[in-house]
Amino acid sequence: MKRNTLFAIAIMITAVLLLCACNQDATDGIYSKVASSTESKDVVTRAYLGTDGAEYYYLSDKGIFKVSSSTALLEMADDDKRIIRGASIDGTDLYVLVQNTVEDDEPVFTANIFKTTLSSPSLSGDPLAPSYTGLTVNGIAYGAEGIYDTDMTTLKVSGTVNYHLETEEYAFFSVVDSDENYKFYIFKDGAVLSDFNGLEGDDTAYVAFQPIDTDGSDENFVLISNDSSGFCGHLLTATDGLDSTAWFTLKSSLPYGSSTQAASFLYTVDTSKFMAIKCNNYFDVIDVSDTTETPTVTPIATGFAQDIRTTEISNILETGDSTNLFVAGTYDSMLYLIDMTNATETSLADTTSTQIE
Amino acid sequence: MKSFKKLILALVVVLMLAAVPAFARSTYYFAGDQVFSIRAGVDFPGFISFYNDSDRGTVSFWDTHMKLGGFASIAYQGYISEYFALGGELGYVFNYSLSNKLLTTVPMTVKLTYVPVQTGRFDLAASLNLGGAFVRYDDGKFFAPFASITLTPSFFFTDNWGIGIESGVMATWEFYTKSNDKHDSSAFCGLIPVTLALSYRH
Repeated sequence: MKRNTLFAIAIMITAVLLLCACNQDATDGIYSKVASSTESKDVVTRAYLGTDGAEYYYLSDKGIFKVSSSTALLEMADDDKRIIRGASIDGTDLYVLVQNTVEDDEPVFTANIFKTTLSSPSLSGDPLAPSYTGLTVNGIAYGAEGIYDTDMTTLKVSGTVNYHLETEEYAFFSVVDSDENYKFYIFKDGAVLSDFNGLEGDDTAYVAFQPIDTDGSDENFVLISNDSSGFCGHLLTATDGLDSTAWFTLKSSLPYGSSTQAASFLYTVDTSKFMAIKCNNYFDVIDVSDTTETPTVTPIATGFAQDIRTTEISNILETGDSTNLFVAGTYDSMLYLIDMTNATETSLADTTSTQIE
Repeated sequence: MKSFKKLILALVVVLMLAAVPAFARSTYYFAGDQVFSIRAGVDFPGFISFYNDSDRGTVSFWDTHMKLGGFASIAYQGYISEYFALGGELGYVFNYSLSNKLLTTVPMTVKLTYVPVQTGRFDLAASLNLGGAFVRYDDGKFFAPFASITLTPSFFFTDNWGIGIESGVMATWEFYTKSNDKHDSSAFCGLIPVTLALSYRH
């Protein structure tokens, strides 16, 4: 009887341990996160800005840097108590959005954009004329009056910018007009696309934006929303506008971090197209080849995702050197080069992500 | 990494072979004797095996993305026979990941020790620990099955006090059922402690 009692206790303890052995709190296994951790550089990348051909530039919590140097091109805050809030590179020119905090010893909340150069960056000259509230990485400025043209001084769209989402070439804006109606605008290379110039919008706070068809006259985009059923992808097309019905639902949750936009990129395999979006602990990969079909959604933890899936990512841009090469800004480890050239339709095992030194 | 594994194994074998001549029929311990010990030292990342995910498989040593960590414990055992001691051990293990986040493991175990070599001045003990451990990393925590196997050669410089070096493998099991989205993240994590052990026997 005593032996049976001891045996029963051992079985119960084992059962309790087995029940407790799963990690219910996080969205990924503990050892999975450990094995996917990346070396911290103690540099928080706020945005990857792009390259001038030779150097990679990024905006960090300490200022604007190029990867090859630990000395800031421009410090985050200067002696005049101005703080860098955004930046954009156009060739060899550098545009910097600067928030003014003090004027004549009185606290203020205004912002200016300075045009300077990458070779000799400085905030000592006169800023551009208007007062701004934002600057996208791909070079679109906006303020209290609305969105400006590529010269950053001519008002292009009137209204109050609610929020924006952007990629390498495109920018999506949610704007509230003077009649308090929500309007959507999509810019490409600084110009408003005619088919997406003041689309009827809504107050949904979309959290990701990805162009999926950019050739020809019918450009298609995906917007990700946070619905009651999860994070859902919606099609936005020139012919049908924004489809409120979800086209797909992500398998993983999106991160709740400092960035208001979940990073994503589009890669191609032969004639197929796939959208990869950075989720909390995985990259969800969506087959967006055929907009008439419900796409498959696959969480990815290996290949290119292995080393960067657990860190926060500020943004992902194409390198411009070739297709299927991208640069990601990370909150832990500066910049990563994502190489999707060896992706196949069924496997991402040979894709890589490498820290840019 | 493979050569490091072989080195550990070779050291263990040499120690055991060296102890063979000292193996004698006479014993030093008897049932009722007690041992209290404290251990402190380092722990090396051993392996993480994702047994449900063939893509990730098993990563070992520094490929686990863990840094060198530390281990400390206290143990109390009573001899139940001339060669076997039974008791418990409470430990604390820490390792930092590459992103400098802290992984902590707090094992609470039943400890069974076999002492085949006991000359009075020199002991060679092999221990098996079974129990559970609290594990915490980032926003995740769980209580999981824990087991370890260690070897401890000790030298007693007085009748009561001894000092030794302990090493072996300690493993924790994180598992998810098939219906859980994290099923592929089920894993065994192995750590290799190398500690200095201070013992008091009575």
